[in-house]
Amino acid sequence: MITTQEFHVNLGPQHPSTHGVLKLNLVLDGEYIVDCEPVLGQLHRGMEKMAEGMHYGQFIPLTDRLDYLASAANNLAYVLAVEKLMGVEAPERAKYIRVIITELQRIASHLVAIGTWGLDLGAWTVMLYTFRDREMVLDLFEMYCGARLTLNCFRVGGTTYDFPPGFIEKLKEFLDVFPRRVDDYEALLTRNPIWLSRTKDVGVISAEDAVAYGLTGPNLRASGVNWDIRRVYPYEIYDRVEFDVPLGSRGDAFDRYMVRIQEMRQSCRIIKQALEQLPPGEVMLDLPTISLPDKRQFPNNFPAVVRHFHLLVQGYAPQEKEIYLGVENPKGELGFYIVSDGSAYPYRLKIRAPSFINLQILPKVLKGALLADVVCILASLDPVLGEVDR
Amino acid sequence: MALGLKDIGLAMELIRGIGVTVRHFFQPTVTIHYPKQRREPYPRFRGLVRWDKEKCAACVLCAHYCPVKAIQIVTGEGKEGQKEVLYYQIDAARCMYCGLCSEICPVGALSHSPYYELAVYERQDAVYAQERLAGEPPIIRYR
Ligand code: SF4
Ligand code: SF4
Repeated sequence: MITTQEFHVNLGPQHPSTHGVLKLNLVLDGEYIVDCEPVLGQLHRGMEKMAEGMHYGQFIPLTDRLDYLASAANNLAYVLAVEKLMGVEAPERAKYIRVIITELQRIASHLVAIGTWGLDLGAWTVMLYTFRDREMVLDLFEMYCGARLTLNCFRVGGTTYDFPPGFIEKLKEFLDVFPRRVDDYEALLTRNPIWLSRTKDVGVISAEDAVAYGLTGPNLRASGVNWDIRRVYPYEIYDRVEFDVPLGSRGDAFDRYMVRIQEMRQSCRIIKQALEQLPPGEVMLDLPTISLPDKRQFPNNFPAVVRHFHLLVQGYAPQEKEIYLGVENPKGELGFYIVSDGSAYPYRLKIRAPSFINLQILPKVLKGALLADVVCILASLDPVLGEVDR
Repeated sequence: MALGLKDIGLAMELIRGIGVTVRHFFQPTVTIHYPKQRREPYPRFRGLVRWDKEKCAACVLCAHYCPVKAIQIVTGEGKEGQKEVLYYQIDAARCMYCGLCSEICPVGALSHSPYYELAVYERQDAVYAQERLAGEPPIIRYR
């Protein structure tokens, strides 16, 4: 007698299309997926625990390692959370610089998302073009702060650096060529019959499901839910710039692609306006309780030396309270929940990682999908495992 | 098999895609032939950390503040009773080039160099100590 039985397949963790060390335990009935269980935690580094043993300022470079494709955006989320905890606000120019850098970071992150997604579905060329253009963004970052991937460029109370000479010209050059480059990706993908048949009506997430599972970012907006923290709770200077929030209608993979493409265009628009409004002035707050003194006065100005050492050895202690602050990262809402017990170390630091929460809907979306579409659906959710596992 | 409108539409789209690729044939090359050509980093580039023994005040702030504890210092008493660094090492394999140490060093004894090709054959070669912390690092370059 012939019997049939379900077939178990492990996708990952060493699979190039899982975008990191994600493992999916799939149960198959023929080509169709019956069940899916994501196995997380292979990149777990204990970030939240590490934060408890560090000063508030020391943790900034570690936030780079959450979503490593958008490190400056993570820096911004953390720095804003600590600023809220301390009750301080960065100078105007610093706010503009932060927004320009994070919007560039959003472009870089979406470029990787679309490029690798194309690669997963066999569209090699797109990946080469997006990575070439991401290189221009990374060059700008290197010029600005010296690092290309893990920037560590924002501080509590401002930014470390001002724009170097020549930066703004180079940025304008990038803004001139970039929209044409986006047209190129669209020419390659948006109406390409193969791309359409692989993404249209694949991995459909309804608006109710998206809200119920707590999706954020482009994945939520592709389902037609108008929720962008930059718009709803504007932080930094987002209430002073004009931009549209691109929305999808069906919530399939293609809509998630379109939302990302249009967000890149909107980011360009934001940067252009921010550059026009960029005010002169300081980029770092001069507040004795949090900012380091100017090093040039050092050997002679003894109180400044004492303050320097005090801030770095003892750290600064916020009041005893708890705060939560979420910002719109390229992947969704990245939030930091910090509990302070009045010492210089956080009592507890919880990270609301967008990729982790976006991934929770995967078993539901994958049920009944074709095995060949798993890679497409996963890429359309754009998880970054550094953030999923923390 | 007769060609329908739909097929013509498909063909048009494929031609449009190929058009983009063909256009790129005539644009300048952007890749660098790496071992033969090297790209110069920008002035602020954060490469291998360098330490200046003459400037260092032996305050141990850098070792204390480094988030990953890549720096080790042993301090002691010098000939005239002053505090002095006896041993200083930076583990380049642990360092994450975050730039905090050079930012906080009160006398500017630490700096980032433009060196970025830091692969070594032995683990201990990645530990830069004492005199290896100044000047050009002994980097084995692939040719
Ligand atoms: S912080 Fe600077 S001066 Fe102090 S020990 Fe380190 S290198 Fe020397
Ligand atoms: S660059 Fe950062 S990780 Fe490296 S030694 Fe300095 S503080 Fe430590």
